[in-house]
Amino acid sequence: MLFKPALIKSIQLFCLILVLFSSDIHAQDFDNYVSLKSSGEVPKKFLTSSTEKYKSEVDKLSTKEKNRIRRTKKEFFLESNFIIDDMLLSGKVMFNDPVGIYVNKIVDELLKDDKQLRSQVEVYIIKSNEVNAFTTNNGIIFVTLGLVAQVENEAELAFVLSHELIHFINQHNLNEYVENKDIQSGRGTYRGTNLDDKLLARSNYSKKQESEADLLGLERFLKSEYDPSTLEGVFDVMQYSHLPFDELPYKKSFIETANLKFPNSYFLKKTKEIEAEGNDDSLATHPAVKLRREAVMDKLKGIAFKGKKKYIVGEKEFATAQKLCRFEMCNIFLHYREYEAAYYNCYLLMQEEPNSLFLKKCLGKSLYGLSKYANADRYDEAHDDYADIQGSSQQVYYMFDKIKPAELNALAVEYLYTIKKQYPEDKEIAAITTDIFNELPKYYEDKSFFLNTQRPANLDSIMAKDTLDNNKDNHKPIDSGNDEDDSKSTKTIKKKSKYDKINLEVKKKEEEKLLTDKSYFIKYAFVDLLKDPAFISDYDNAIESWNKKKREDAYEETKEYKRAEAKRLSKVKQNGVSLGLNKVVIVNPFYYKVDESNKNSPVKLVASENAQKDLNNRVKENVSLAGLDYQLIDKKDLTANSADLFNDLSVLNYYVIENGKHDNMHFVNYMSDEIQALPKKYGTNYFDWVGIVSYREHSNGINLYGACFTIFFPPIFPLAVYNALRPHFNTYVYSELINIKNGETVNYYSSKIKFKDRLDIVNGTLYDIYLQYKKHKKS
Amino acid sequence: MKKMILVFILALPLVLKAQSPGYQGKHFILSYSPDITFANYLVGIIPVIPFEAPDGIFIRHNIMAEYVLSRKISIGAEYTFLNQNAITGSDDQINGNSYSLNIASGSFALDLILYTSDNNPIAPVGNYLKFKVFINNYTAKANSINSDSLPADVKNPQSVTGQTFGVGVGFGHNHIVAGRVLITYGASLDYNFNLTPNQATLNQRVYEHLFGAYIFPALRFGVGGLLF
Repeated sequence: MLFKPALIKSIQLFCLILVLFSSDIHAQDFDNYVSLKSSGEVPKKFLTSSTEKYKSEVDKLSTKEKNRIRRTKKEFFLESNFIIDDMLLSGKVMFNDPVGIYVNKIVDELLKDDKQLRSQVEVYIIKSNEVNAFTTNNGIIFVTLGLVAQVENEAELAFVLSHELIHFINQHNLNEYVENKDIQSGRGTYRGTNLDDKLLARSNYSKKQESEADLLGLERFLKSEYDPSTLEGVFDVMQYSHLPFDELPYKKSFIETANLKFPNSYFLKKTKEIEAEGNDDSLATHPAVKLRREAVMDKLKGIAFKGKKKYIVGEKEFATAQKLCRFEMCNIFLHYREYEAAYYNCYLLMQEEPNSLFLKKCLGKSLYGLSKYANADRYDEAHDDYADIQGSSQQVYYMFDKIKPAELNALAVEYLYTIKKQYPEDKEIAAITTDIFNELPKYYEDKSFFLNTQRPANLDSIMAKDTLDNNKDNHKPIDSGNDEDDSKSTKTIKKKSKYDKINLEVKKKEEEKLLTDKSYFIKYAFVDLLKDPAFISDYDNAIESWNKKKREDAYEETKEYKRAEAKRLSKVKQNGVSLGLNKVVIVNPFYYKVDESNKNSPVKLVASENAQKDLNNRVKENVSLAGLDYQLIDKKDLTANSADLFNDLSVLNYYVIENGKHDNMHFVNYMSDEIQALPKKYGTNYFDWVGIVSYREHSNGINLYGACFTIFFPPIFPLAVYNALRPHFNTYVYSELINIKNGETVNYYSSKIKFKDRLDIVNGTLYDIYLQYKKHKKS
Repeated sequence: MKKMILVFILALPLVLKAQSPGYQGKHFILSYSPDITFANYLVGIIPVIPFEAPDGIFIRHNIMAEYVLSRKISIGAEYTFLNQNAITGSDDQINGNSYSLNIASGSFALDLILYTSDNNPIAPVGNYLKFKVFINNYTAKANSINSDSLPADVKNPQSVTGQTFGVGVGFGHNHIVAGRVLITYGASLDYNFNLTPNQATLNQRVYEHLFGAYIFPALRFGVGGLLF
């Protein structure tokens, strides 16, 4: 691992790919950017089961090794194969995508004289904005979009890949795992060490490997035609990886219109200084960047760089790949609800691509996301504290910190409605605009609040006086630049007549009154839009929709509603939901077998994978018996030709994860274009996520009921003893049915069954679920 | 009356052609269970007649038809048959008498079976709670040899028939294997209401102790099939 590798743990989601086709990066129309996708033949690594991979690696283990080492390595193979496959199939890893193809070409170049090694290495791109790359023991190098977005040239990327190749060649992951086991259990030289020493030992071992990868990677890199003079830049990338891909002062005019202008107090006079990553690496897994930089630079002394190149695959290819990554980052920021980061990313990209529909939509989506969370009183979930942000982007975080929910809502409506008018055919923009528009009456039920007259020319000077509560901040707002004007105006007043002075005083009071209205500037948000009858009509509709919602909310508080709801729920409990559907798509059924008694590895990975395969058959059988038309799409059923299916699963995976984050909030998903294409493709709006977890617990001992019953009915004593001693099982069954057309969760089924996951339990429950989906409500 | 109930039970699946779930769409179950009832209640007879309980247990043959009505509820009808020498023995130490008491009974019951626990899958899988009402026809026949010392009503072989009715409650667990085979086990308690027998003799006492106002515990272990 080259960069912060906290990942390996947290990453359950990435992967790799071997690029089977070499072709130039195809031209992207960045005005209508389409998200990166996998294509072509699905690589073998995606198709082979984790169990097969695990067994294959175990078979290769040398019998000469000590049993303890063999056992530890087996553990490693088991865990790593399942974790890596989870990543590969999570939808976050792409194969045969333009960026992956490009990066693989760099590896081709690095290994052009080592065909055997090249055949063992596959590089895949992970949809992650982290600046990172890491390697698995079986030759997969994962490179994040964030890394490609931040490096300055191809040679820098080549060095990172050289570093990762050393991790693979020297099997650093595996060795570190074995070493850590020794450290953990205090074997050999670690005998008698305390916890602090163990942590230090782990850190030192890891740092040693990183240094080795740096230096041996450099040797490999120097054998290539890449220019080492750029290598210092790699360490800059590492040191400032917490920053956006560019550092460009944010201009507030970016989002302003002729009439909607923000107060200066919403912006900082000076943003926080940028700091490089610290040099304290005492317990880190990687050496401090400064030390790594020095070590590499030291090695480079005296080496001639003549004839070396920054680009071998091609500068144009690099630029395109990088731009693709930077565009794709918008999606990832939106997915993780990092709306301010998405906003600034769009801001940077729009300097070059101001007309990109994709970027306009992303910007609109970030405003939409922030506004939705502000309206739901959950702003903290979507808004990051500006105090933690360094550099120019802090301005954006500060602006969204100061803006009021009502203003934010109006701003989102203004921006989205304007682009809706530009792109009337775009259903995604229409859906988002309508949704956020319908919430505007929460603050502005009377649309006459918004003025349809041009913003007064003197409003700028009034706004300049507005300091709001900035004095409380350590940061001063931007200078108005109007102090001089103010002193001139004072002199002018002295020359005025008595009545002019009175009128001036009246005007001043009006201005002060205006300033006390904190939303004074937002009154001019819709000056242009209010000239459009369609906007006025949509506003009226929004008011009507809001009032309807209020009536519904009020009704839900009544006893009558609560009684009816209780009755309905009781009926549902008794008879099921009876949805009357014709077809569902069942997505990625999952099965986990968990054994509490195995504390180190409670999830029985191999058994889970086998159970998972069987679950697919169970699902198919029961959904058919229930008379429901269905399509089961599963990552484990991929074939070499199912790249489309892989992409669909990726979209659905992102969709369901994002939905989970919004947690019952009605939210137009950020990938709604892709999502909305699926109902047509699969012939139904209804997608079902189903899964089972079988949990084995320790014996609970004799319980009170058992003891009492035995006293009154002694013949069951042996049964009671058996019951007290045997392990107990619970089977958890989940199913979430979502209408992806409107994002509504149609049914959420969660059941804890106090039995082992016997076939009849599984079949009975699945049949029940799907019959409820099929069954019509009794009239 | 019985015929009517039987017709009703058999016609029920057709009447309720509704979309009741059952196990993979199969709602009708026929099962057999040799219920084990414990004879400890015979202790009550011993002070009257120095009989001994043979093995302490009876086997009742139970045939049950069950129909799943909804996700959590099913109804059933069952016929339970018992024919056993309930008591045999002798009181040689006293008078050299020997005797036997044969009991035959057949009871017909209607059941309401609930699978309503939240921790349960759907009917008819998993734990159930059963309530029943039943009618019990019985015949008790006593035989004795050299029964001089016995009370007059025991001296001569007699038989008596009678009818009781009762209610019962049971619980247990159903397990389905191979999609159609039902394995069931559980326990039940039946309660006979005390009806006046038609002959107030030995059988009166036998009746009182065997069928009158007594709780019958039973263990159940059966097998059946999901027919349709």
